[in-house]
Amino acid sequence: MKNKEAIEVSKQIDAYIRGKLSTKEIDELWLLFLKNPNYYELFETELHLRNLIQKNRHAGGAIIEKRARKMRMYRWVVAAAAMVIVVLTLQFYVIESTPGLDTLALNTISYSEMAAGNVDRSDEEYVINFETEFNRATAAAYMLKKDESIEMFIELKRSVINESQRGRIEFNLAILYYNSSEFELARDSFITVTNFEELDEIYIERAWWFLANTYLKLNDQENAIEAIRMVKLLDGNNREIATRLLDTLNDRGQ
Amino acid sequence: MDYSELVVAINEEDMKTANRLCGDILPILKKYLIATVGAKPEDAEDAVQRMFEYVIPKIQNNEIKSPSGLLAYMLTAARHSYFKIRKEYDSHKFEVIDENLVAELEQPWGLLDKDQETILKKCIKELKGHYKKLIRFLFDYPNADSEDIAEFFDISVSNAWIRKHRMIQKLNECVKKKFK
Repeated sequence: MKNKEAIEVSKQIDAYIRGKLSTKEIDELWLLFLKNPNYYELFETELHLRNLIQKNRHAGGAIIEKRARKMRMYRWVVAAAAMVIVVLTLQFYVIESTPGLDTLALNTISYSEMAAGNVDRSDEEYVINFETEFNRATAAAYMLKKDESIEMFIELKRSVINESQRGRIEFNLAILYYNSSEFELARDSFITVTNFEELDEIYIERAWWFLANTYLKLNDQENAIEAIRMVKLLDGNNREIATRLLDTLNDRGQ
Repeated sequence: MDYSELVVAINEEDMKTANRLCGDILPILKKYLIATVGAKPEDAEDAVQRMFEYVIPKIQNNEIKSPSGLLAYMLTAARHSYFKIRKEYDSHKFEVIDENLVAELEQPWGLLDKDQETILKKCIKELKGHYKKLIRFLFDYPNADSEDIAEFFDISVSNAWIRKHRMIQKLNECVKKKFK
């Protein structure tokens, strides 16, 4: 890849993601991607990066939108504003002493809740291989190697044979995301699990219960209540604790 | 690569080479349809397959006058093939699908993949030196452009582009390595 050309393509990719290219220019860029798939890879990476940056912004990770050249000039204004926010927040907590919704949620989910591999002597070799790898990924979580475990499950997704396997992978990934404080990812994965028809009911019920906790972590009371109601409806192991949590939430609402 | 090689392979009935070349561009053509016309992955796959079924006989019959323009032709043909499929599926709903309406959807966000995002997050954590400083800056100032990067780091705008490009390259290499 010639460096000068690569920088030019990089500028075009930036403009594309910012929505500044015409339809014709977009097609020309895709033509370059076809001619040189390396450019496509760079585009895909930048697209995901831009999405992460935007998500972080929505999550409140970045609140300042002014251009950087003005940033240094007005840094003291930002500092003063931050002080005001801190003071106001402290006052809010003095007046409103009700703890945040996230304090009601599970701190972490025990790895003993994770789905395990199902190996049967009569299984074909490729099934046994899959389930063995599944157990290895689960074991990594038990050994507190969360990142490694996530990578192993993601890798395993490529070799799934049936929907039950896919559901179990997603369920374990959701727990790992929850324990890594990646609550948006955990929410998406738990929602996916609740839609798996071929998955054992026990996992579906647990997924709803953990989804309720994830919503609490995300301060989304409305959806948390909906998920808790589903747990009660499914009438499984978590029914009792879900009922108590629902009562607490209702008390807070009064 | 201009894909005139594909014309040669088809004309010489070298199907092994032809299949490999078609296989190389198929994923990008699929993603093109997902990104530009909001196609579902299964419809995109279908459209690209149909495009090949349409284009290959044209190559065999020497109807492609400019082999160097083959890829551009394939992009357009894939797009038309997709609209044809939509018309077939939705014929009970709409008499005519206005292809121009889709222009509003031309955003590439449909290509996002949750697994890739997870891996990318890990790679971001592994960045070092001025790439680490740059990524922090981009997260702190989401709308910053290359001029802002240049101003903040006290470098020229062209160096800002180069630094950003190299950072993306590093992230890309890391993602590829972890996906293997």
